[in-house]
Amino acid sequence: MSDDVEMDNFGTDGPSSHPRLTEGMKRLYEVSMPPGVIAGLEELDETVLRAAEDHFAGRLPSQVSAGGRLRWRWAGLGVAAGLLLGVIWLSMQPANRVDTPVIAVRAGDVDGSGRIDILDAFTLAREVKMGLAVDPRHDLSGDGRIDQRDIDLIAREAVTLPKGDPS
Amino acid sequence: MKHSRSVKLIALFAVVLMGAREPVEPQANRAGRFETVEVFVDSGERPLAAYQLDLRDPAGAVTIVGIEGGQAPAFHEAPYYDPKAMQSDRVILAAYSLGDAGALPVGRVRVATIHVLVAGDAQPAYRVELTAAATADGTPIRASVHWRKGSEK
Repeated sequence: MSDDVEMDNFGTDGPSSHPRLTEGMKRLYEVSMPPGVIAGLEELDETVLRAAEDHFAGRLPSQVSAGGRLRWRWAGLGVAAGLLLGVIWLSMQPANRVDTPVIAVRAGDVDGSGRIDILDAFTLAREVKMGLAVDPRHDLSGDGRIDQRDIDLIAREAVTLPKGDPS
Repeated sequence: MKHSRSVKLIALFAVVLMGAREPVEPQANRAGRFETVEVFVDSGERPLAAYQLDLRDPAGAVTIVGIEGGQAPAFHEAPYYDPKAMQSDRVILAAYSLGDAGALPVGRVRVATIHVLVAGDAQPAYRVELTAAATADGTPIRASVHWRKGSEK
């Protein structure tokens, strides 16, 4: 900073009311930067300022109407309430409830047809013969492995006459 | 005393009557005849690897007394059946074969023979329903089932 710049309290009038300070500042800028550069910087400042104003103009709260904000709030509350009710309903369901998908994968129903017939025994026999991974639920004999004994149990279940058959 | 003797006589008479009733049904069965029922499955051009069928006599005039396998090597062994079907007029038969497709029967093939005791002079009209059939790779297939009266003894 130059020595001839006097430090003073500008008061309420600002620095433009002090000609000596103003002159000193001008000289300082003239020394450190060429005039063309200063003009370019001013233009750049204006450009950045305009871009910032444009950018934030779209996000100002005043741009969104009060009715729109209210609708979004109610929609959010509705979704939250629905989720809460869903969680409560699920938590109230009995743990041992039996649904159709559970029936479809019951022990012995190898092909998932919903009933036990010879095709289940046949499918299991093929899987065992080919060495494929077999669902452990079809271990009907309970001996920890799936073999011909389980296949026979399924086949016998398939041909079992219904209870109460009039014949 | 006389009263006691009368009661004993009545009881003895009742026992004799009940005892006399027991042989009635077997005698009626003995009056019937044994015959066989041959069961066929027709899988068309697809090799038959597994089947399940339900056979019954709606009139209830027969008693199943024996079951044996069929003619094709793949189904020569006796099929699966419920032992309760014996002395009954209904049976569910099922069998499968893990043989290669080339060794499995195609077209019409006898899969089982059922031995029955027919009461009196009844002429049974069996109702047979094919409930499952599959080919060598396990794919369910369409097939038909038929029965034919076999030999009579």
